[in-house]
Amino acid sequence: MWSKTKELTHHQTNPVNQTGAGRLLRSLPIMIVVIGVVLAGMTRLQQVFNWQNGIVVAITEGVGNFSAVFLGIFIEAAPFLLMGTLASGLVEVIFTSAELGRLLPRNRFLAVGLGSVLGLFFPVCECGSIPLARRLMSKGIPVPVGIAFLLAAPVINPIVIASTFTAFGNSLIFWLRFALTLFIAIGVGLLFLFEPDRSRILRPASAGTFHAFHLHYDHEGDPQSLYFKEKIKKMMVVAADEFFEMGRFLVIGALLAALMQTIVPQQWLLSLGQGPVLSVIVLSLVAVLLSVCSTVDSFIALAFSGTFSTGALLAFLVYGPMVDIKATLMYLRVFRRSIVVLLVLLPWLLTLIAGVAINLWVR
Amino acid sequence: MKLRRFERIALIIIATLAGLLALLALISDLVGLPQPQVVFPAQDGMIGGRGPVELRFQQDMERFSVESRLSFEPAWQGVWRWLDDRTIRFFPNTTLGEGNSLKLILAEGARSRDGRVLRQPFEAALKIRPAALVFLSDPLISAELVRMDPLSGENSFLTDSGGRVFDFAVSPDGERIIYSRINLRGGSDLVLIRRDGSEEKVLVKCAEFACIEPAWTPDSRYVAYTHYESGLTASMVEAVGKIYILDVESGSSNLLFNNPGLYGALPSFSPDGTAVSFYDFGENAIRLVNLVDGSSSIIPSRVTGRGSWSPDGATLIVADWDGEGTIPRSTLFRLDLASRSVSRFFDDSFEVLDVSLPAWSPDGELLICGLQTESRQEGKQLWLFERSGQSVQQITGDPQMNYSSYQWSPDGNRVVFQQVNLSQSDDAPKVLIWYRADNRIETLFDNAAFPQWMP
Repeated sequence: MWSKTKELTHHQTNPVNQTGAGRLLRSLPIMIVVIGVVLAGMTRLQQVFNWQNGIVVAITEGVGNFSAVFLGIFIEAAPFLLMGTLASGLVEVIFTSAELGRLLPRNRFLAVGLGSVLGLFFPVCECGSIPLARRLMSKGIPVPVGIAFLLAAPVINPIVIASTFTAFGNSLIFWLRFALTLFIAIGVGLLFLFEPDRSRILRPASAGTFHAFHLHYDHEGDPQSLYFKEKIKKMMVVAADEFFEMGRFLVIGALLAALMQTIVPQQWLLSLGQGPVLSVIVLSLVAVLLSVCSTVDSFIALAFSGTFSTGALLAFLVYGPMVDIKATLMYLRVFRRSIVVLLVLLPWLLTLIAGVAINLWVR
Repeated sequence: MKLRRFERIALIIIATLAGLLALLALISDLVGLPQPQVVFPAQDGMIGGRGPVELRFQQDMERFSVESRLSFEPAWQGVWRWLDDRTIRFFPNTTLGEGNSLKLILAEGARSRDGRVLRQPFEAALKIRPAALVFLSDPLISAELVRMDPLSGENSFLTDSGGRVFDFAVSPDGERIIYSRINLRGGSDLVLIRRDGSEEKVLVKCAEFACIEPAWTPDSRYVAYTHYESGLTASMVEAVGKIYILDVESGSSNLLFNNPGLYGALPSFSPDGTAVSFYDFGENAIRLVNLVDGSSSIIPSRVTGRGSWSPDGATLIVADWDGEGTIPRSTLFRLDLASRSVSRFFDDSFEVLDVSLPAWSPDGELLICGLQTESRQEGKQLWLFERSGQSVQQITGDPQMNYSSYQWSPDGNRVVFQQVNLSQSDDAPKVLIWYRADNRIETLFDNAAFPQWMP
């Protein structure tokens, strides 16, 4: 029967399964459980022994904060990573490279513009946009289009539009958030038109040949139905592989972000944030440090609105979804290091210039 | 090492952007603080005789640096108050007459908290707009609010409630009107509209209860009202009212007194907004509540009514029975709030049978008052008094007519009031106006009542 005869073969073996990273990946769930048990245990120990030693108390408080921040970031981001990888799997099974190519405008500028608004159809935050962008580029979508999508999708999507509107209403900040994001995403995307060699941009594993599947089925059942089941299965396999591959970077990124938040006092950073220039720099760095998902960052920005200028708030809302600690780590899985530097630096400079200009001349 | 084309372009772009950012940082001190936005006056620089004037900044400001640089030309005495770190509003001590022009000036040097300095002085030309009138048209059958320009006679409906307007109050800044609207359950809700009737918003839904007698704070932010648990028809008779304070921005209401045995009605704020007075049915007195420290005091008054605050807030005039005759006379008493002393308002030689509460002129020098002096069968006539209680003149003298609901115009040159013909029971009330300069009285609107000025 079908289950006996169907075959699902990788033409190129998934590198994740063979490397040390693969082993790390397989042990990821255990690691998370162990970390959780240790953190809970430390808290319990403090209660049991009622340690009065100030250092120990400070450490355990720090660990408590660290674990809370880590879990907050991870739990917030994981569903979106899952959505992104599912969307990636969906793209893999629905579109062939040729079909995707046909969907794009022939004009390169228009194509980049289209890439920047693709997020409207894939409501993912930054964790989800990275695997999806990688998938699209691996299926032959031009890199500039993929990068425009990567940078814009965390903001230009229905969930973030709704949450930003809820927080700020029909205001200048609401409209400028989307306009600036589009401007920066398209601008950075267009730069990559000058690099025709995609192998110099993407890491080999992302360059376009991994996870190519062949579907085989016999003709005893309903071909359409079997084909559909096979596609679903394939989608799930792709999504699961990618979820765990990207998931470890999410975990490491969330750990780093939690560590930074524990070590660097946020209040100290915020107290620096006055002045039309410095406030923009500080809030853009806070966005990187906090690493919150773009679906909820509007409400955090709203809390800053009494203290910070409009330009600074926009820097937080525009730059944060493009670049934060966990996203940067995930970028490293997709792009070459020099390109990651560009993807961090260019949006930052553009955001700073826009934020300062808004502070000086708009409001 | 030779750079590739893409790398060269990327480096050039990064260098350019970094240079541009550095340039912006350098000129940020030169650009200075952007000019504040004038929230009020909304258009053409026209404001009411009592403001509002409100400036909104785009940054959190160093408050003193702004306050010390704000002025009017010619001078307009009053107080600047911060609504938040970015918004400052002027509360005038005096009312300016319509047609007056003045200039609001914010001198250079005002600083924002982020250290930016206003490098150019900011100026806004202001002009006091002509005060309009608001009253109830067809009050006995189908009451709606009407706005009227007393100079041109032009008028327009502000509400379309199906004749369900019960009472109303115009905000001191003339920007908004709150009115009570009879609902389908026999109670009344409180509804807020702008001065042109737009942006109608139901602020308080009272179901079968009656929410009426609204009174604004001087800063036009809060409204005190009476919530009658007995509903609209029985409200004043059963007198089980509670006083609530409503924040018109948020729409939240709070009970003034959380005392189950304390009932009141007819709230009124002191001119500085720090005290509220209302009629306490339990004590048969006007209760004065200090909103700053929560203390309250009683001013005996067996005549149900509001107290009448002098514009400077130093004096409260209340009505009370005079003597213990079979048919007692009512008269006015003056409460000096500083010394807590009470004295008669009228000269001993001035005979009064019945009196309504007076209305103070905006400068606090004159009062207008409805009085019965000759016979209880006659209507109350309008009289003008000095603040000392010395009568200046009798304004109306038709015993067939009863005059009430009088209110001074913001410039103090006119008084609008209501006339009812006592000899014809089916006669509808009229709104009239008295011109102080030439002692002239004109009918403004037939079949209308309860006129109020809208600055």
